[in-house]
Amino acid sequence: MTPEEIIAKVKDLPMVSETARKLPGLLKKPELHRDDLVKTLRCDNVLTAKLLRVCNSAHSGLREPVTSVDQAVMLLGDNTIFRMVCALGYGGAMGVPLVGYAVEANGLWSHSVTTGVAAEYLAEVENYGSFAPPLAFTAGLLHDIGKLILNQILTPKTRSEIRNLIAEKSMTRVEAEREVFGADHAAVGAVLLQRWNVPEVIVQAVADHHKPVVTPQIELSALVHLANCAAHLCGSSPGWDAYALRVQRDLSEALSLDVKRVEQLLLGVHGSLATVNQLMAAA
Amino acid sequence: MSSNGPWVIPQRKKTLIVGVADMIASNDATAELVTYSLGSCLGVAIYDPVAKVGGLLHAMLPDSTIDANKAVSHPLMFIDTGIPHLFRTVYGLGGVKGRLTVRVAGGAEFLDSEGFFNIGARNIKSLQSLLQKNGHRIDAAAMGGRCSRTVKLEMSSGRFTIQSPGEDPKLL
Repeated sequence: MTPEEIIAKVKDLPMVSETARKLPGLLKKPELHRDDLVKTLRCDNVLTAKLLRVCNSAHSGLREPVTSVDQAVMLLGDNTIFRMVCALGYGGAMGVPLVGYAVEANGLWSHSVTTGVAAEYLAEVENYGSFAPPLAFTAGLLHDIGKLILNQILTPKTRSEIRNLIAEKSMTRVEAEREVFGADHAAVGAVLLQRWNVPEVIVQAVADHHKPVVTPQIELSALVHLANCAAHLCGSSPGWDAYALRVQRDLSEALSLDVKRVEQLLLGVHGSLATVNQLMAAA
Repeated sequence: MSSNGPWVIPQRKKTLIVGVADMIASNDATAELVTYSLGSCLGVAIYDPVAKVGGLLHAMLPDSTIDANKAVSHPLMFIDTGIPHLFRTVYGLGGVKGRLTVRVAGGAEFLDSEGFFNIGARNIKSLQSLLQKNGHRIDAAAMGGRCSRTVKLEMSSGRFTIQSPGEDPKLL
């Protein structure tokens, strides 16, 4: 099946609100504009209420209670608020348990937010590529969204076929998915995001996150690939076959990675994950 | 009906969750120590069946020499600094060296040929050499492979169970 055929076969597309679908579109401009963000959020009371609840939780460190989006943006900054609303906006859809992947409730969501935060850290602090932090975060957040679709067509039979291919033929998860269905979760996710008018650069990064384009400039797909590996190695590993993935061979050379550097990056990523835990605890 | 008759309410188990780069040691028989989703990280459980004390460490990286500051501020992040902490704390609770059992889970690997990302194998190696140097051995282990593992140490009995997503728990 092609990714389009798989999506057509599925009854329930991920329940993501109109506002949440529009959020990645705000990144089409080179910089995130505060007015755009506030205007988009104004149309969604539910998401605004969730945001304010997180802002007013004990973890945010604000002394005074926040009562409006404008105030929240002013106090916490555009990037932080964007990260929060994106994570919350996709949280409902991504929080479901994925039986086909043996992922518990909130497992995919937590891994997605972790990958987003890792991508943001790698872009902002380690200066990999030249991506705005919210763009890196969003690409990381959405990288596995195709799993929500494939999960619905995974039957006990296809599930055990995939399991056997991984266990006995040393295939990666995506290789096994392609063998069984003709398409993998990365390709399916990219087609879904394209329909939602998500910026092409994110669509491409999601499509290629298991086979990134490695160039000296560092593409977004390579950043998400590295962030995904880092999330797994930092303990965000939902699912039975969490480690059935292959690290792109030429990535280490392009990013000047060695044993020590990889471990240092993991330390840095782990240090930035406090924000994930705060968000999860408050949401 | 329990053997104690209908009037005795069984004591509830306290589940204590060990986070990444964290450790819990306990002498509370009603406690169970749990750590979730061990991938390449190692979950190391030590237990003294006579004193009924033990501890569980969830360490992420093999060697603290990569970051001198983190070695001091987050010693439980690393095998080489976390393991001594674990043993010292359990000794402090009454654990005795010859009686401790050591059980380990985790150390999963990507399908990575280059090896820079094979943190799991490096964690296992670091643990093995450290234990050997100090006269301990691993009594039981579920290490390597591609799956993530959640482990539980019951303080009353020392039972150590491992569960991978979608599978039944196994006793180690």
